[in-house]
Amino acid sequence: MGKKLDNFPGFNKRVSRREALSTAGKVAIGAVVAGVVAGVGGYYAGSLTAAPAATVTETRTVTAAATTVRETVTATVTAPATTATVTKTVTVGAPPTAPVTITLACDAGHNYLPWFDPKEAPEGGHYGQNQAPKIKEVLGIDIVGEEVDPGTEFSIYMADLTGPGKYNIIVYFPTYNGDILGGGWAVPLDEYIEKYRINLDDLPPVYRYLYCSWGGKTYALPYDGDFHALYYRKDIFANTDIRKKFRDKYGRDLEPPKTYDEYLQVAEFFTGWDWDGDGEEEYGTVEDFKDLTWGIFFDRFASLGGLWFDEEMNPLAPNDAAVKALEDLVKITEYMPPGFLEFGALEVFDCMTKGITAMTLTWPDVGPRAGSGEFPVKGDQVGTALVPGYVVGGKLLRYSWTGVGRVMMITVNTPEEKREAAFRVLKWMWDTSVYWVPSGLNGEDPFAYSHTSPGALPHWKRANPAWSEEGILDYMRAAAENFAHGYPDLYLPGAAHYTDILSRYIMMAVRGEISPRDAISRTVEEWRSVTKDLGEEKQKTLWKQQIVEYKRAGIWPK
Amino acid sequence: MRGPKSPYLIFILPSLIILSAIIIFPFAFNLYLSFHKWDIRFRGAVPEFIGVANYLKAFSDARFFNSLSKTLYMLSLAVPLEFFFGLLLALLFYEPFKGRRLLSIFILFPLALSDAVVGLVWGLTLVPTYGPVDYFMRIFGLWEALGFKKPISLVMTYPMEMIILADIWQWTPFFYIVLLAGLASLPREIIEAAEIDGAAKLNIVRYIMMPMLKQVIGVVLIIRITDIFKTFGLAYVMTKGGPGFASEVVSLYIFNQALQFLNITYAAALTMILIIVITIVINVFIRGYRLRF
Amino acid sequence: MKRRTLSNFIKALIIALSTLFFVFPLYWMTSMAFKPEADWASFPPKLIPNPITLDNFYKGLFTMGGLQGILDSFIIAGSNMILSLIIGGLAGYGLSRYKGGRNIAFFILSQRFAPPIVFTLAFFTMFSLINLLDTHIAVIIAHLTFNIPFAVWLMKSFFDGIPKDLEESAMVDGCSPFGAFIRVVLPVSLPGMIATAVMLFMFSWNEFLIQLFLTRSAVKPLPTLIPRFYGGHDILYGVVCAVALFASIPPIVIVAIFHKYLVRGLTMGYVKG
Repeated sequence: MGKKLDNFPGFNKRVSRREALSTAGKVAIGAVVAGVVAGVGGYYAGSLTAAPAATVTETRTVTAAATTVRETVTATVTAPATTATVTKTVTVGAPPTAPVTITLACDAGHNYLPWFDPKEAPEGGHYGQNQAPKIKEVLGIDIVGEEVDPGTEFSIYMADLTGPGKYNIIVYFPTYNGDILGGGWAVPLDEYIEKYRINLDDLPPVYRYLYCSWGGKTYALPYDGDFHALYYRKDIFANTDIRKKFRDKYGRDLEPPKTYDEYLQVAEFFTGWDWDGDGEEEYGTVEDFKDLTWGIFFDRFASLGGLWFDEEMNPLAPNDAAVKALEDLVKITEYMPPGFLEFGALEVFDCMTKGITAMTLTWPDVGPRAGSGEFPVKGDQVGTALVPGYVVGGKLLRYSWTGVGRVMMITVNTPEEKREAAFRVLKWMWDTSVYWVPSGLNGEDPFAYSHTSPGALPHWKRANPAWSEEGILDYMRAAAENFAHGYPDLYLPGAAHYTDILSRYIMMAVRGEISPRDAISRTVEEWRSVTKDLGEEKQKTLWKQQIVEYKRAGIWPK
Repeated sequence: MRGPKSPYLIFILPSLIILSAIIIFPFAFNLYLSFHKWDIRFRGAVPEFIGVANYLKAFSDARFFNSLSKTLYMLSLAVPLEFFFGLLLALLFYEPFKGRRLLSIFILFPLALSDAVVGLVWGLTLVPTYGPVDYFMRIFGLWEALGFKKPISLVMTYPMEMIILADIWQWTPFFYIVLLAGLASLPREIIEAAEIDGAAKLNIVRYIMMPMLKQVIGVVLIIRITDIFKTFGLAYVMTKGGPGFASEVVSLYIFNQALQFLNITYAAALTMILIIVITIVINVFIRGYRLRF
Repeated sequence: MKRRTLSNFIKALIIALSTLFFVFPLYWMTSMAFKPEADWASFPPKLIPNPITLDNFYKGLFTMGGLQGILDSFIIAGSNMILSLIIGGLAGYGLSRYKGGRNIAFFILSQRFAPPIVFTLAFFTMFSLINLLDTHIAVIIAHLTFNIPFAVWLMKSFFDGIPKDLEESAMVDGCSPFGAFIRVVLPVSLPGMIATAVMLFMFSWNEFLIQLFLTRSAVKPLPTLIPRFYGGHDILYGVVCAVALFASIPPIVIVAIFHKYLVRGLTMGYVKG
């Protein structure tokens, strides 16, 4: 395994060829570039048990208007015997001279594994984690890391940012973008991105513009991409008796629902009887109410064309759409297992993998969990699909809420001389993300097209040895679809306050304590009061900066 | 009769000095904040003096009053129940019996767990479908017996009551251990004399033990009352104050304002109001209880 | 005789039910600690873990810093307990015997009224200025704010229950007030001291918010470690339970050792008469 900079694993993003293609046709925002895993063989030669020569296939799909052009490029990479050089190299700037120390803050536990992992195995398990020692080895940058409690990380980060300013890199939830980016605490990265040739087209619009940017500038790179996906029991849906039953009852074929009305119907169909033969009654679906209540509301509201705020800072516009979204949410709860209000993410995942529900609309984790084979429902029994939506103005609008997630930024407290080194750390994590993201262990989910295209398959397989290839491919495809249809969480100062209010009223409506209409009107009223407290003009200005990003992402209504 | 130069002042001095030294800055800082407006999320923001505006806002803050009412509700149920249960246990464990030490250790176990763990464990115990309580109620048909058509989520339907239940589990041992020590400190001669005279057990407890324990009982009640105003760990872990605002106790609300919404100046004002409320409640209690100083 | 048996029976019944109440959630927690991840949310719930695994203990204690957490918490709580007991106990005695201490006593008590929020940001600033962030000392000092008042008041109430004749007769014999305190009063107040010490330890051991803000990586007391067990979207219930279980061993051992001083069985004679 070479230690020279030449063997630095990088993705060869052939910018010039792509540009040529784009002039040939009209490239819509849905351009997909698959990353090449060049250098993988060289870098991991010590830990791979693969054959010396690895064949890597790069596929680039460019969507132009109504036609799709697919181009396949095959490259052969020969792992070095002792002194051979990897054919594709990425030389980025001058090699580091003096050692540099960068202080990093990231949330504790699982999410820390990509940086530091005490137990790194060559195969499966902790494959791909523990990047910090490698960064030290190759780049000479010493990373001092601190684990932070995610529940209070906001105040801990703010205390450091406004005070001692010890942290150079912070990994945080983009929900605090309004406060952290809008507040001016992050170093703009556009220059470095340009210099180090990071291809942001690899990101779907929602992550590129909403997770990572503010007011037209890029300030962060993704660390974890979250989105909602629809999971369903593929095996049950394919069962001929059940299909017949469904057809007889509803007059159409049983498929993963595309609209929320269909979703309601399918959920109703599967509730209250034993469709998998285990002697227990099952249910239609389940969603995560406990932890991030507003998110499941937002999948629906966004698909109805709803906005967090309109340009005049009117909350939850249009209100009627908000009421409908909440009403639909209340309706679906009838087909959920008892006690669903208390189910956190773990219990929701288990409903799927333990055969309690036929569907679930939730986080990316369900796929790898089924793939791990450790639960009664495994592998190909679970199918992944794009979340449902609503037909608005003749078009089917399907948005997947991309709340939570994580991004990494460089703090303004970082002295000038260290900033470039800090960026090189970010770039390293960007380049190596395809190694550590596929692991179900660390809670990080795919966020780039290169994570979900066939070139990434070897990494998914290594990280999830019990998952079948078809299962992985199906999941990757659906993941890409969902985050391509991503809709952002609220990024504005005070986001935590706004969403806290919304969640509580949603809960009350779901429990029947107040009507959905009442819930929305009270939320709107309190949101106005919060906006006033934070300074109406200031909020408006900051929201306008956000709208710039929505427009760049193409998700602001015309 | 001790004069002003009482030798006992020396005993007290270290505490006073240390406490004052540590407390003064936080208190002053908090007071300062409560009269200002400071949006620390914005780089370069400075505190802005706004007089009593934060306090006025608190008085029209429905959510704040809701949180106070939830806390008072908890106080009214948890404290008496914990006290009587703890006292009962202390009396029962006062006399030796086989296995007393082992059982006593079991009873004291909850004290060794932090709020978050207690909340987690009770959450797991009470969760529907996966939890043992729900399971038992199902197999013995207790849900129907109680009048529910299908099993319900106890934590969602009775959030405050479940929090209080977890609190009783966690803090009854506190009353138990202190009252047990109190009983053990009582002069044996008087109690034995009464026993020899043939007094009924209940009367011994009521007329001899309780009066002698008055000081200790008063102190533990004050401590517990104060602590209930301050704790939010159970609510945070079990319900996050939900559903809706049903279990958002006052310290949880202040925590949310300060650390989640980052309104640290408003939270500072709420804190000062809370301290005043606690002071009033404790004063009323001391007067009513006639605690000897 | 019949009455005795009935009352004994009722007594035993109450003890049994109470113990069951306290033990059952503990048992559930223990079973969680030994269950593999797939069983943490199993339907129907498994009362007896099967299969049994030691994974949670291994993970929590060795790979996620559980052992260091226990050590750090022990150092903090133990030191604070001793300091608070001595300083607070002395003050409690002084206030008990001094006739004008009402205002001082209330002042000390009122320190405990402040919710920890008051202290978090202020202490963070204070200690970062004198470069004591992320040290045991900072937390030990910070915890004095609620433990000294507790020690003062609880010990005072125990001392109130000890008649002054004891010291007075000792002082008549030529003891100084301090000597009388150490030789005569302290031994009699042993149960009270034990109870106070145990509670002081527990309060410090379990405090969360202040420790969270004052520590980073060098010092990681247990409550601050628990968030580590909250994964991406899921909570590692089994690991939390395993660590909490293991962590409760030191305080419980202390209780077990000193239990006999808490209860009837070991009493010191009063005035022999």
